[in-house]
Amino acid sequence: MNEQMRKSIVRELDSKAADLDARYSPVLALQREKLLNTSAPGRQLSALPWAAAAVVVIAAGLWSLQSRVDQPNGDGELPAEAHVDVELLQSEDFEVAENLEFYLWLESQLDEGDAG
Amino acid sequence: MMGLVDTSCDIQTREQSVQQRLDGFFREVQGAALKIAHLSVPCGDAAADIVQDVMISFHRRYASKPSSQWRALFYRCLHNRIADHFRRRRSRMSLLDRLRGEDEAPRESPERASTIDEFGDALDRALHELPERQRQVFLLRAWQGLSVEETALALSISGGSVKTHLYRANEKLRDALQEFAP
Repeated sequence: MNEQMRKSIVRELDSKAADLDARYSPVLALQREKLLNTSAPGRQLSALPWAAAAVVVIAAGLWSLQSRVDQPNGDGELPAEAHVDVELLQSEDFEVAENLEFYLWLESQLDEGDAG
Repeated sequence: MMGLVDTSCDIQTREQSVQQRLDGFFREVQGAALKIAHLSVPCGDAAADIVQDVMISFHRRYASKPSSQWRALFYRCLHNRIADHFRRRRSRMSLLDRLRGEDEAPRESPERASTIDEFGDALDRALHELPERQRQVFLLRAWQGLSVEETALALSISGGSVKTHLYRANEKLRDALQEFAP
């Protein structure tokens, strides 16, 4: 095939492609807009490192607290406040934390009652 | 904290830039993609459906690849989708044939038959009559200007096969269109 024939073929194909493009451009533009505006490529993937980092930080915090609880103090006893922290975190019942003052007061009242 | 906000803004800006480049890329290739699909499927609407599917598939699978590979990968999606279209059609036709007990020859669509452009018509016919692989190689190499390597990547074949298919396609097209030779 000579160069002139090749050029004619390319011109003809370009022209037909332009006709088709003009005919279907509105449909495809709508599709492109929907596709590119509703989902960013790799958006989910780009969030993964942040999610992984957050999980690592939380796990490290819990592990650190747990190791403090597991380590006996000088008297061979576990630090009581560490137990409270871990139990609160593990129970996920944060109402207890919100009403802590009330429970402490109640305990002191019961102690006074026992003593009296 | 400021660093996190900055990084988040950077990611957002980068995503927007990729979206804009993708939009430009899709605009650039959609006409050629429509024509390539239309050479395989006789109906323009079906070709547009194919191109839409290819955009979705490309966006999901290859948008994160370097933009220098986009054209080859886009055409890979396109040819896979066209092959898939024919697989589905074959199985549907074979079921219909069994139900009807007859072999129906494929008919030309009215829009193809009504074309009055002689050279364009002869070219479409000649391209349509080429074996699938030769047509794909010719359209990507001779029309779209992809390199041998890009064409090989798009069609999952070797560079040597690209050259062989292109040579054969050129020969057949020259014979089929010799009455229009200057």
